[in-house]
Amino acid sequence: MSQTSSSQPLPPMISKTAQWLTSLALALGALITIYILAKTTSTPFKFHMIIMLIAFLAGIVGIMNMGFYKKGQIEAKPSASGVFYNEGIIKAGVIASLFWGVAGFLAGDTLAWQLAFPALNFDTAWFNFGRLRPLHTSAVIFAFGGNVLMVTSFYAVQRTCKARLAGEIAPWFVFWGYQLFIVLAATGYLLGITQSKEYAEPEWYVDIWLTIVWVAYLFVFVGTLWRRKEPHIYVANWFFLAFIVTVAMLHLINNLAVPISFTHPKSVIIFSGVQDALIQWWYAHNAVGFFLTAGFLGIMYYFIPKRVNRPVYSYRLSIVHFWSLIFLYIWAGPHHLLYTALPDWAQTLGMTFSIMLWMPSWGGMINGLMTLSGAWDKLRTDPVVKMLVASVAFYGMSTFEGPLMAIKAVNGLSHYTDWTVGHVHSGALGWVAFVSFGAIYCLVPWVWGRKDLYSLKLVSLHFWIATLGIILYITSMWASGIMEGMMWRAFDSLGFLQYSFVEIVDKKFYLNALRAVGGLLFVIGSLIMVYNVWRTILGHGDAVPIRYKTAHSDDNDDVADEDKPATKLA
Amino acid sequence: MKLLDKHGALEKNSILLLICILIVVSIGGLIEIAPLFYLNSTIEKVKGMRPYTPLELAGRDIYLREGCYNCHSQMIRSTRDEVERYGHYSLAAESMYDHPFQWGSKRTGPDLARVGNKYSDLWHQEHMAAPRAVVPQSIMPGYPFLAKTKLDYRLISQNLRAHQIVGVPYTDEQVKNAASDLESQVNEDHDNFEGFEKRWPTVVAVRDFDGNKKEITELDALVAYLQMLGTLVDFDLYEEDDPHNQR
Amino acid sequence: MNITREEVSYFAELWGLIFLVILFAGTVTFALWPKNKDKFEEAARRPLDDD
Repeated sequence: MSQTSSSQPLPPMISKTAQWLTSLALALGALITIYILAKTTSTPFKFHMIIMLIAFLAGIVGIMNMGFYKKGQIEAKPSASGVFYNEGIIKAGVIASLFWGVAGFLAGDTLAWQLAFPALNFDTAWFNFGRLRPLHTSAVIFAFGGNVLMVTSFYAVQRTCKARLAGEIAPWFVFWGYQLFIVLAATGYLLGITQSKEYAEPEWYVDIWLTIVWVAYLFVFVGTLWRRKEPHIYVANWFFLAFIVTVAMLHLINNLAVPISFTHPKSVIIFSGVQDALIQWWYAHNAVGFFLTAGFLGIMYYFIPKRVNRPVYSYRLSIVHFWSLIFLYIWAGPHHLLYTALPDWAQTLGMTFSIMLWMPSWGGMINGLMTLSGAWDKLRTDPVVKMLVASVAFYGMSTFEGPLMAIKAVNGLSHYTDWTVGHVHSGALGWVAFVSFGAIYCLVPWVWGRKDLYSLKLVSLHFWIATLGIILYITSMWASGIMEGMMWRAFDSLGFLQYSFVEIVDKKFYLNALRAVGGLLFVIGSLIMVYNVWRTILGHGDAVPIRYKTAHSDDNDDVADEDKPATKLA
Repeated sequence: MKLLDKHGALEKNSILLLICILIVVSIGGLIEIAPLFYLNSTIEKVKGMRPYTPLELAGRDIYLREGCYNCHSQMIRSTRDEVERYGHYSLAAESMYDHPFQWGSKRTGPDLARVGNKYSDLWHQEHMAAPRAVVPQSIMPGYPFLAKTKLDYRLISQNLRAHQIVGVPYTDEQVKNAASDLESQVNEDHDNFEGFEKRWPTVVAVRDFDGNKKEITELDALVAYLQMLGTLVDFDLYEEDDPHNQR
Repeated sequence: MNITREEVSYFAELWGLIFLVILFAGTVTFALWPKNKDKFEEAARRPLDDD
């Protein structure tokens, strides 16, 4: 409170110049879409150009409208120390995360049912497995995960720097621009627009759009770092920064392509065959390493200490964790290409670094878990802490399984099977989704100014239903993956292959169905969360509105109040 | 003044962090990826590889569009059971014209690297229309719409041209005549057939692929692509023990 | 360019290892440097600041 700025605390102003310049840029974009619209022969491309045109025009209206009724002043309330945190963007990001999360989980479970009952593909083009699967992966990784990362990074960087997010238009441009990217990517897959690189399916024009948005994201993030008051940057921000920078590099290189025409969605990737394979898996594995790991570790390093009200177990360990993680991860890609036509030396390199990766991963896990030392009771009393801690435990489990599967002999069995799918989901559902849920459960009462969530019991219910779903999912995939791996390589006494491929497919039916049930439980859990968040925003139940917009008012009694619902639960 | 100095230090820290991150993450990629482009032994020297014909390329684009790679690999690993089940293990050379590669990551369905000529066209036609009519336990989605959709090849020339730009050795003639070459591959009576044979001397599969002579459908293109997969390299002539082919 | 696979693996193994060791030593030194202790302790408490 002593840091209240010397001048009168006034909400920031919006720059007229910035408004006009951004609108002008968007108008230029609109002109380009109109030009393509007139020239193109591709119907899906026309559809996309119309979406982009509408988005650009809406963007111009939105930007020019900013601060219109308040003579250029932004609506914001000061925090206890007088900082005008940008919380509107946090609210928007939370809602977008929930929306895309449910959409992505639903798409995933639909795919699971399709694998058990192929009639559910309905013989259509747009609803078949091949087109829906990229929709699912993009929706959960980039739409859900991406929105969670943006919102948590925007929240954490503001609080740890004690500064308002840099720029007034830029954060909103990043937010809406990113949603536009998601809509273009998702509808594109259904219409058959894809460049077929896993987790990088969007075509050239969507890639360009994402690049623009991503650069703006980097500037907003770094710009906020520049506004901080202490020279040292809090370690969570290191992870967020590494995620933003590295993903930019991966995206740019992996998507290098030559469009067949400026007025056609299709492009030709400049790399081919073995080189393309290595670049693709260098990209895809580091999407796991930097998008789904480094970024979410940023969440861990901010939200767990904040929630349990204890500093991170060892700040020094977190520094070593950071550098060794980002150094080792970048090499691990070739473990996706063992026994293939990739040269042996690259395979060995990939395997070695993947195994070493186990160490920093577990260092990070220990750091996250031990942050609770002395506060282990919160594990019983606060279901949000339970969710966060379970996520770190799942992180430990899947980062142990990962190096194991990167060993050539193990990979020989596991590769191409459902085991890989199970492994991915133990990380994606257990680690990424759980840490995201935990962060969202923290953020909602903080930014909407509620004493607590509507119901902590519902959080507990969500936790158990989702955990049961994950367990069903990964155990059925272990069973099915190891089974098919063994059966593929089974020889009879005469030295012939014992099973035909389709016999093995047939044997997986019950496991496929079980996995779909597990997925369904996970979806139900996420719907419970949406309901809980919605009631919290409305201020029902324990979500009593508090006077201050910020997380905790300067009234000391509030800290004690925080524990009340938790004790009720116990 | 003091505030300004401090501000400089602050910026230095964040920029320093950014640069260090960039250095650390680029080194691994550089050491791993760059040699693949320079090492002579990355891709084996084999006989028989040729770029896709316009029809096959159009079929490949349908393969990509429908997301076949989500369930089918095109990479036979060098293990005994895979060689037994699918044929000779895949060589890097066999995907040298694949922009992008289609090795895949999951085998919900079988590997397709050598599916070419394993089944008849009729089998493919019926299988695409209703997979379970042919293989009762199959869980593949049906693609009956492919046989009903006319192939859109208005931009096939531009497509070959883009491939030429990224290094696929298409001749200018092949690029220019892509559309009529595409038509010729399903129709021997095409006016331009002689030109097609001259431009594509090594293509043996010339026929109507979808069982419907009246029009060129997406199924024509897809079956043409599937039927040539893995058939180009003659493994009777390939010496795997040759030191040049050791990687 | 004519480089052989032996040269590549030699280069990657030797310099990769040296780079790894230097980086790791640097990081640990930075993390354990006594002068940094107070800074880190202050930073570690930063998320707990209620604002």
